[in-house]
Amino acid sequence: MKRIFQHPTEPATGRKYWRSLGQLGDTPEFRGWLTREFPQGAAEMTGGEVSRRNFLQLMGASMALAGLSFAGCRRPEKHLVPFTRGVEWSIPGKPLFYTTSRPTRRGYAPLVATTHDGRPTKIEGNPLHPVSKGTTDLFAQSSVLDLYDPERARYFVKDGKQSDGAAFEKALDEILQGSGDGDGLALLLEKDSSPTRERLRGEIAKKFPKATWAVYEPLGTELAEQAVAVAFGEGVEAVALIDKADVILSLDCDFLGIEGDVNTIREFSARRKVSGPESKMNRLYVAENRYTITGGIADHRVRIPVSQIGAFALALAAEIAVTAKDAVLGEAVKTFGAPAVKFSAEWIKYSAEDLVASKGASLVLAGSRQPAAVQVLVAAINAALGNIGKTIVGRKLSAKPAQTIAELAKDITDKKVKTLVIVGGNPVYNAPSDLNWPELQKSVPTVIRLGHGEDETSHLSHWNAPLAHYLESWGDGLAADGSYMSVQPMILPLFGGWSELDLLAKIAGQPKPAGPELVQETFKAVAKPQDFTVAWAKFLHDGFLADSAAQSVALAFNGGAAGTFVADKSAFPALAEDAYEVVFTGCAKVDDGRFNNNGWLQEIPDPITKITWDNAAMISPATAKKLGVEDNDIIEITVEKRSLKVAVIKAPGHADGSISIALGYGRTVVGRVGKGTGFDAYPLRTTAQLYFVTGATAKATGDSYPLALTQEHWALEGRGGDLTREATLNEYKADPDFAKTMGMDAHIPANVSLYTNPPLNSAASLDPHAWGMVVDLNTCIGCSACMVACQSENNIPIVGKEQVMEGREMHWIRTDRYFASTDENDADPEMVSQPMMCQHCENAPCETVCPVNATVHSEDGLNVMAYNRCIGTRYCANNCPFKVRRFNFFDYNQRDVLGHVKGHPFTGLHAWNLTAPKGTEDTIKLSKNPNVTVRMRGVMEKCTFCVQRIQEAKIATKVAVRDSGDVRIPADAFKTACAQACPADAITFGDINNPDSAVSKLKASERGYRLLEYLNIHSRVTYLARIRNPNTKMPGAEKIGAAMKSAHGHKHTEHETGGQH
Amino acid sequence: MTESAVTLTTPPELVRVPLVSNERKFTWISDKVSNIVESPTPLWWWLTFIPCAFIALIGLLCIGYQISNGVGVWGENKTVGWAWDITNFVFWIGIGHAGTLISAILFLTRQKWRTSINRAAEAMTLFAVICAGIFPGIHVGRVWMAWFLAPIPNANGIWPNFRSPLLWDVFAVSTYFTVSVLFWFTGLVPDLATLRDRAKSRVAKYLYGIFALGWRGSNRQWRHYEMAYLLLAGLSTPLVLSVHSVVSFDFATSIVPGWHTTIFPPYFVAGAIFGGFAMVLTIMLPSRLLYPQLDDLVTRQHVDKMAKIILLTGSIVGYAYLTELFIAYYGANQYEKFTFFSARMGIHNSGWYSWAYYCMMFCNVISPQLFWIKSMRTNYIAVFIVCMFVNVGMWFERFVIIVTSLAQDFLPSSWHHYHPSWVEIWTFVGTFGIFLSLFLLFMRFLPMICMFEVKLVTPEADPHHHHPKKEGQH
Amino acid sequence: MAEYRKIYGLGAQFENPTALMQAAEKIRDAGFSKWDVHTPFPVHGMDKAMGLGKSWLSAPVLIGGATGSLTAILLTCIPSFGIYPLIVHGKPMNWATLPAFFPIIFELTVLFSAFTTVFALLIMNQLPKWYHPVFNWERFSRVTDDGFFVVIEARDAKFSETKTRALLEEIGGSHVTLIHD
Repeated sequence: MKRIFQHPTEPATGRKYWRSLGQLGDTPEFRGWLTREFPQGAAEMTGGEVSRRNFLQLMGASMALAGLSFAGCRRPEKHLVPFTRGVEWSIPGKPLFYTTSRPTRRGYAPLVATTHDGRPTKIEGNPLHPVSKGTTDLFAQSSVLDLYDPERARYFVKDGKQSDGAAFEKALDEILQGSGDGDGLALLLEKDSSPTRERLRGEIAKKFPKATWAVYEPLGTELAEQAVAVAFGEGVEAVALIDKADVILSLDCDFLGIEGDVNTIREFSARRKVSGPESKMNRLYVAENRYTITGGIADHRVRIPVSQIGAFALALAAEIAVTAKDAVLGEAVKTFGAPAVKFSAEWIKYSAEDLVASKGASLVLAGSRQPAAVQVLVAAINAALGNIGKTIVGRKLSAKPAQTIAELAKDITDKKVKTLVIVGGNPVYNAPSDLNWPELQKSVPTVIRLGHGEDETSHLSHWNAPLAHYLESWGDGLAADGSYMSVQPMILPLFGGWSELDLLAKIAGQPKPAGPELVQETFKAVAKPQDFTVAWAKFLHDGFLADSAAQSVALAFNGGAAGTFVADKSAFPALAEDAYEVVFTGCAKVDDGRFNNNGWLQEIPDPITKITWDNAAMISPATAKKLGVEDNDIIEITVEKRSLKVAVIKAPGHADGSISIALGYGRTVVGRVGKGTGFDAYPLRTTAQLYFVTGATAKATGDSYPLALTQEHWALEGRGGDLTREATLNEYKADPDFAKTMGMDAHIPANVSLYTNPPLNSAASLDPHAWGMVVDLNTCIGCSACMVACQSENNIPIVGKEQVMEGREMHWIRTDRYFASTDENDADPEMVSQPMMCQHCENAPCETVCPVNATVHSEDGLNVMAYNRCIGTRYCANNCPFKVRRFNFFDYNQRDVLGHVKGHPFTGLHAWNLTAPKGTEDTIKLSKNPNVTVRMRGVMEKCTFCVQRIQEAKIATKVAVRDSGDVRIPADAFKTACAQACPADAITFGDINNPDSAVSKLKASERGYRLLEYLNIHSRVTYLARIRNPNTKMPGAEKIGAAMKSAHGHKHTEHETGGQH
Repeated sequence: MTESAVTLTTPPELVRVPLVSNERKFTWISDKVSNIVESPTPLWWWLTFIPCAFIALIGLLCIGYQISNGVGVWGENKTVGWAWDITNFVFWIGIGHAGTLISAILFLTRQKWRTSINRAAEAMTLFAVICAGIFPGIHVGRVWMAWFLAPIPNANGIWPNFRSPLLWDVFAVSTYFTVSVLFWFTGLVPDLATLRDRAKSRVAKYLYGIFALGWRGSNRQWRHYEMAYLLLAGLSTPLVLSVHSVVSFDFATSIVPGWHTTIFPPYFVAGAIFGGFAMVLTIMLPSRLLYPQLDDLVTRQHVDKMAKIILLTGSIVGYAYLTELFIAYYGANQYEKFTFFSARMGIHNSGWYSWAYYCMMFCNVISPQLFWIKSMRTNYIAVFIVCMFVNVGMWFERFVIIVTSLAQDFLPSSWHHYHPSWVEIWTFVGTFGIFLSLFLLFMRFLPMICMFEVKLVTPEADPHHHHPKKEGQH
Repeated sequence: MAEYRKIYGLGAQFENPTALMQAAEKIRDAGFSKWDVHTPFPVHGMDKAMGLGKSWLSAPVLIGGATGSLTAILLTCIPSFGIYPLIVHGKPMNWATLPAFFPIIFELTVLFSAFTTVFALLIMNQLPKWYHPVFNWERFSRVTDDGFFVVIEARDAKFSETKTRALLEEIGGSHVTLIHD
């Protein structure tokens, strides 16, 4: 009964999405897939996971079918193609999970993608892989939105005119024929560890021996590599094992933030976990110019301009050389001039002491922006501390050297380059300004660009081809630990884009791969499997090749080389009185600018400044005073002839005389999301001074620029003892129960109730579960990955800068960031991050005030919202002590949140609804989670503890247990989106009725406290008080946690603290 | 009755000032009051009515824009969920207390001087309640779903939450409005009969006739009529006290520092009477200017008495303010303390809206103290100015309670400033347009003063009155 | 023409409440029952003068109020812990939650009472009644201004056009007029 389904021909008036599908429809094998009711090779599927290759193709086909059916959603008259006989494993309405990995500068991030009917909707970490252990960062979480970005490159464009893939392929062939031995052919790529790419690079080198292969990363690590090469020799990389270190000193190294990944975060937080007073914690010293996530969690922190870090390292080295009696280090120190600046002697003395005390278990890290000499010096310090081979291990370097962009620029100036192929990147925007790249690129006869979106570079290229997203393409790569990762497509390229490998294969003279064949070839070479099919299937299933992590090599510190290298390095001059240093930092949200058009990332507040939709120049309050500026005022920074006007924000804990600007904003050619966001600091960068410049001048301009902050007020107002409880390790040892009796809890009377609460999860209750959450403030670093995870899981709309300024952002979970100090004008306040989501109070104040019963309690203890019952009085939000409820002030999903034009009162969301267009981009619709309602305007919403996941688990359990009545979900069978993403493992969710669950164990911790207990709200979220591990000898040690001892901080043992049980 | 029994034995200092000056006759009263309605529309009426109607129109347009686009066109945010909308609601509903209070409570307490002002005051009450009703109506996110508030199940069988103060409001305000209308209309019937009998044109005769219900002033009717009026007064008295108590529950039953206060009900009721009387005078003094013929009916002693009530209630309100502060201090709760001493009074210069707090303090507590002086109480200009202050102050009282409490509550991280948008501002201005337009229409078409009650308080009305022998007026 | 029309009764005007009151007492003593006085405002003491008791309007109002309370109690309690109980703010789902309903119970009581008052008033006064014979007497229009009238109905057993007219004139009534139906 094989029925032939006649696929309708593509209509001329097709929507843009059809172009890709239609194009795809032209390829013969796809026709084959489509015209047969049940795809070829389905028979092979019987082997379960075995034939994953075919399965993926199958999914590809079903995606195409699904794709047509989406088209059906958009255009009802089109043909819907039902799964009359379901594609194997694909149960309509049930998600499918595939492993893949995402290319990053620090290696491929292991991921699992959730797909609904062939649409990837959610990204999670790969629990099998040691680097991820199931966790993700906010970039991985938000990458799914990049896939569906309606402003991605959609067409092949030739000189600004729309073309198509075939024409591009033809043109490419012609150009390559003309390139002879590759003289005049140059490729500019991004840093990437894909072995297949390396292989193709080799083949291209064979075909075009004279071709140039250049790699550019705006936020590179070349200085570190150089330093390692000097200190430990070529061909190796030095890897810090953070979890092995008891004492860590970071010199301007944000290893938990932009210079780290989920792995470093986990390694660090693993050593911050406190199970009881006796548990050991690591100790972190940080010297940095601005508050970073790393500095925020540090036990001791000192503010030092980036240009002075070297001097600081030198002073430290001298101290350590003496204390540790290390000759080599002593020599190295001598080669520098004596530092011109003085630092707190005790700080250096006692931190050095501490480091030496834990020889072999200490770790000194230097930021990758520091000059190679400083990094070599730090290597020497680590050598002197005997950390080499213990906390710092060597690993074989995989990447082969490539030309730098500067060298390539020289070739172009010398007219040596005829054809320039730019894959990814955005050099026109972010190349060092002294290269004057835009002019260079214009001077090249043919520029071919494979790019993700329309950007500055694509505007100066002759051929533009859309780059396939990693969720759309086959590939492979190496993870941070060097293990071999697979990249497999979840969906056919939405806009017919080419992957990097596709293009390189073409250049290498091979046909554009239709499937994974290229990668398979590499896989064969790497894995050398006996049974390819099985091995390949496992490779795709696990997402990586087992035990393929790079083998470590012994590191030998070459003191002599180091000495000679640093010998000719000048000393570090003190900052001139009226000159400033400008520090270029990677942005925690848009990285180097590549994610500038991602709405989720734009709207996530910066973890430190809480700025959304912009960057700003961070300066210390003292510097602001000196410049006579306030927040939002615009200053003009001038370095030599280059100058930049940028809005400032006063950043507590920032070094004086230093200005930090996040890169990646002020894009000129970008989509509507990124348009007009922030200030472009790249023009200040030169090849010589890529990461910070000194001798800059700054002056107030008198203009100002509104910044959208999600947190207007950063002081704790003496409520630290109540809200963010904290103690030092010693205090904790002295009084393990300190958290129970801080703040108001010290003296609230016992709660006497006239009546008993209705049954929640009691024997009488229908539901055996009681959902609860524990947030460990000791490990939370405030990275905000949870926020994006929540946004992606729960279809939370973005509201745009204007609405954020109005205070209407929609995030269900936020990370509150306080700068706490007993003295309001303290230049060195301590930083506290506190994730805040609906506390699911058992006596929820929001419920009783709702006139229409739209928010009530479920039997398993959730505070639930009935959207279609809500009329939007906002009374519940007023009565919520945590202000976690979010109101749809406008129809954010249906109206134009980005369309507001300054000075025009009736634009964007303010355009009159009766006349303004309504609706949302179709690709954005594809990105939605089908299990979560998309809320309309006028209704209240908030954290649901991912009720959709709870329900799925309940259903699964009910199915599993069949008739036996035991419907209790096994302990920790699933997590909420935030808990699953959290790389620091700070959020734990589960059933507090189940004694085996992690959450119920943590709830028993003596550090646990619930917020605003005195209101008798019985919240279901418990916070574990933060424990700091200061070195009592250090200056300022006495200040630590002082701000948290509010007026009521003293212990009242005689009082019965209410609501405890 | 005794106050009008002027006998030769009564020493002069004990003689009460008559409520109607110059010993006016019944006909005189009917004539003067009815003339306002019967005489052709004066020019000033058009000159005031047209602008008022225009402002009302602007307000309605703003409401339309807000309903079609969403609450986002206002300035509220995630932290400050209520601002001008509920402020205006409480402001207007407060004003809407004076009328019923005057007609009901003063009636029960036999305050005869009420007779010449209760009609206008009651009308003002109704119009104020109408303005008040607008705001809870439009402040919800999905106006078209507001019927969920009705005590009926929806399609899923869900009922409203009878524990919610907001639902109590729905019951209280709608009841209050209905009863006030009934009370007002009952009082109107005999006067409508007067207009009916005086009417020259057929149309007027018919219209007034219809609403006069065929009243013939027979004693068998008066008998039940007076009982009904007494009962309505008796019902309205607890009602008027309950309405603002219920409104205050919106705040008192919540947990927000600055809202969660047990003294709210009496404090709100006092405030309502305070603001209501101020508004009555604000309306009455100008209309008295426009209709000098009423001078003998609305006399200085009326103004004097109302000023006294303003002084009393104003002082009660001031006392409530101080009590709040004391409890905040004595309660030793850092959140409460912050709200009252920092957020409101601006100690440690951390109060964002302390200016509003001090404005409220001056207008509501300081300015009425002027009324300790008799000459001030009877000086129309002075009274008018103080009443204006009180109107402003009472609005700010609600603004302070609602906005300052919300903007800076428990978690400093979620503190957020609030700024009104032009839509909010014009919606509020618009309600004044609606209020005044309705009042002008009332002045134009209905007797502003309750004629039969005024006649009742004249000496002649007393059957035991010694009528000087005189020529029968035919 | 008047001759053909049925006689409703005899009306007389008096100068002021005092006169009216005295007249009323005399008519009462004369034993009339179907008669009434008409005044621009309620004259206090007239009930006694006419030999009428206290108005019993309050009785229906009491019933109305009781109905209101009962309605409110059922309205709030049945859904809240009868047919659709919900866990709200951890509050009890039984009679213990009743205090939360007091405001509604009170309001409905008042509402029902007020309506009963007004409707009872209309019924007892037989209003609205837009036509009434007394309106045929052109002097009567002053009843809402400053006229004080007595009208004795022809239906009264003691009514006799001549005697009653005499009585009215004797007790000081002026403009004694025969009112036709």
